[in-house]
Amino acid sequence: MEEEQTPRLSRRAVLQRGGLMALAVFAPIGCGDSTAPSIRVPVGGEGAGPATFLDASELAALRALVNRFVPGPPEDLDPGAAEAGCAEAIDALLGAFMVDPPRIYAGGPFSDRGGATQNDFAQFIPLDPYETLAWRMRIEGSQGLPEREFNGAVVGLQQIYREGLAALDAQARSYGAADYAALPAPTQELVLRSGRDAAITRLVDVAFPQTLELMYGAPEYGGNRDLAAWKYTRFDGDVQPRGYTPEQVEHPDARGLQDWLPDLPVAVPLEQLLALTPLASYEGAQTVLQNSNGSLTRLTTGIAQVLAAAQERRHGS
Amino acid sequence: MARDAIVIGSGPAGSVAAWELARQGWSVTILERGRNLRPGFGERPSGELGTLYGSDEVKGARHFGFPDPLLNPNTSRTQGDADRGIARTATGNVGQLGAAVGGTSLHYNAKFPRFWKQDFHMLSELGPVDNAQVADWPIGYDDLAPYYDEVEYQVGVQGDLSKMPAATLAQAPRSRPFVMPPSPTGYAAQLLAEGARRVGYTAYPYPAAVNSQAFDGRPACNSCGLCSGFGCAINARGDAMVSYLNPSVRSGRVRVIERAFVYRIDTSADGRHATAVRWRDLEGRERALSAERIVIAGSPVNTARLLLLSANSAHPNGLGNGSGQLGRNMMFHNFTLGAAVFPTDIQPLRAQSTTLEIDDLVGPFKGAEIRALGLPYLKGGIIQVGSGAPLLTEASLLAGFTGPGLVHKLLMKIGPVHSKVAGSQLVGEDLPQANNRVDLDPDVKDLHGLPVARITYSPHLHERVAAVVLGARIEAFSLATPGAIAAAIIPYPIISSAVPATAHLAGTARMGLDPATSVCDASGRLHEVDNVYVADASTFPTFPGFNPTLTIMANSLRIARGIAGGSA
Repeated sequence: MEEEQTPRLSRRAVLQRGGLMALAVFAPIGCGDSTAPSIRVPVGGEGAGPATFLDASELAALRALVNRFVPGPPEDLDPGAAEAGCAEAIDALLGAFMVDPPRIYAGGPFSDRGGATQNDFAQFIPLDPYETLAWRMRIEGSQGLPEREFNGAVVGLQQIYREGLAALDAQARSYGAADYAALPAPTQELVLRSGRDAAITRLVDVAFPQTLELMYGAPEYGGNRDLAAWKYTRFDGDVQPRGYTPEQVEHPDARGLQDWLPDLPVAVPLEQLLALTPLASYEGAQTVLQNSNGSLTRLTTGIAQVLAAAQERRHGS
Repeated sequence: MARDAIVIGSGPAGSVAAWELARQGWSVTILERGRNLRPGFGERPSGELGTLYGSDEVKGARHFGFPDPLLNPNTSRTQGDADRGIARTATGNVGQLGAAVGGTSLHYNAKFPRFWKQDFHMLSELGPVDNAQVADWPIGYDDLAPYYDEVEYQVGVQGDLSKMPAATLAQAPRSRPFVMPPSPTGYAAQLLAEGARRVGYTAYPYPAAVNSQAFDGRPACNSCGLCSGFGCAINARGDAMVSYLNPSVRSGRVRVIERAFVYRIDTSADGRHATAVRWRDLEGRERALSAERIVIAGSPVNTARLLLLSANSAHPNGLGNGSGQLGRNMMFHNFTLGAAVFPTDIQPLRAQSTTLEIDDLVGPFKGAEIRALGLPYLKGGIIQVGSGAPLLTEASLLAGFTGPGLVHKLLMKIGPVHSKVAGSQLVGEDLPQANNRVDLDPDVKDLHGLPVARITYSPHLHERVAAVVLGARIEAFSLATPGAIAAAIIPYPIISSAVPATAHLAGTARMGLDPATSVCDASGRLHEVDNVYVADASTFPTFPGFNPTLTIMANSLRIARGIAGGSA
């Protein structure tokens, strides 16, 4: 396997060059199926069997897909979404109503990561009829039921995934591969970006945000296995009930090795990124996220609006 | 004879109203569209309540404690869309607040500033603004001050009188010290405070309904940082539930009916008297109840929708809408966001969120530069200092920027948002406009087949100018912040005319002395219906740039005391 050489830039250099840099995307050439062996996520709590909606070949395609969204080794040394269990976690969401209580909302108030002796997150919250109706509509679609079609038919996640994954395999076959998972990573990428198949576009639109939810959210939802994502982002995660001491609040941690970031094989357009940083607040983030309603397309449009305005300001000043 | 009331909505306004009526011996039924998320509610003291919330971002992303956008959507469009005959451009959680017993205060940021004296007399002191319906409140600061005091002591507000600017204390005088001292100030907020000082501004501890020490049987905050949008995992926040609703239910005179979707208030044939409140339960069954007094506290969008749905032959345009003002003057705070960017981790999430406040941009500003832009004056608002965004929020935002793939992951590893940005937000005043309004969507329905609320909204020139002029000043102090390598702002009102996603809503049933230009009188009562009151932020004639919950609670307490005292 050859690895394409990308200039390695120190973080400082990245920051200094700022907006003059182009976004350099790279993908190793010729690496085949790079995902680790499949990881089974126990679902349904004590005694309940794993919920599975997808069959084995669909799950294989989904593993390949989520690893395009958040790649793992060899493209990046830290685990990707497939290694972190996101495909199985999505499958568990699609099959949420096969177990009781449905795995929609983790319990509270504490996991066992912040000093509590038991993990409340692991006990999912029973849904009331309102939440049940909403999540059945979202997952199963309206299925012609009048009580779900007061605003017309609703296409459910199960259908979006099933049709989208089938379309990925069909595209793969047109490239001469047995299925999507068997394609080399760059070709997998190409299939996603070609935009030739509406079912694929619709799949990516919801699957990428959902992969992020499971990758960067609490591990009880099935992704972020072994806290992989919280480790590589150095995010403290949920810290209750321990919380922080006044000393930890008021003073920065002693600078350690971890504060000196590894050189990153990527150039970021700093000025564009900078335009996004003020979204670092509940209100700011929610304005963009809420309007996107879980759709990547709408989110991208919203972000583009923010960036365009930032551009305009810069040119105007 | 026992007196009774129905309160619609169990959030801050509804809970306070029910608490006061019960305290005066009334029996109260609260109808709430959400369900209870605090185990032990009504059975145990507030200090012993459990919670289904936790430091779990996924629940927030999945609408936990909110109306589901599939079942109870709102729709929206801009004024320009409306002019072009476009029915709506967005459907979903737009303009939605929480739906749970205790309302949005279950997951609010608990910032508790008071409005200022000048805010209650804007029209008479500052004058009109073209294309806006600037108005005086029918009450003044002094009318509200005793209720501010009372609520602050009931909820438990932290702050430091000695560090508050003289101008703030002159505009919002206090007769008592805060209940408790401030929580520790986060490192990121300290840095921004120094930046603010360098440009001549004063950052001081933000009054907040958060325990810095044990209070009312609940523990002190331990600065986990996951406040706004999260239910407090350790019960350290004062709110409608723990401070008012739970104690009043335990008194035995208040009951809460969960998942009650109120859709209509019936009146007598002459329209002067409400005879029943109708709702549907989870099974879709129609239910009804009568009471001597009806108090609406559904928050501005829902309150307006209910009154519009209640139109009858005596009230053809909606209950109490003889003025034509019902649903109009819908206001949202326009947040202008600032960020100071650092090369190293400055721990923005490791503190009670936005622990500091700056009042230097409250205004009014009347300089030549404002007049040159076509405005007689400009009002901003307070600045919340020292915010951060947690990981999934960052991941979701960056997704719209990079799309899927390795670049996204590498940016997450750098952590620009969750570890290297110290945020500030201007809570910008929104002027009331006749054409910013809630009406009934002609096509989109809720799960019961009833028309949903449609919000038509565009920011006024005032908000757009404020975002640019005042946003530049936020950028300046962010740049002056020690260690910052860059700064940026997002002046939302000039980027988009869409409804801002904020939990700060007001208007739609404004209070006023003149029935021709307002929906409620000073007591909160509908001008045209003798026994129906509005107790939430719908009554606000204007919407000054301060977090509104304290004023919502104080005003609701005032209104409820008026109802119980018979003077209203």
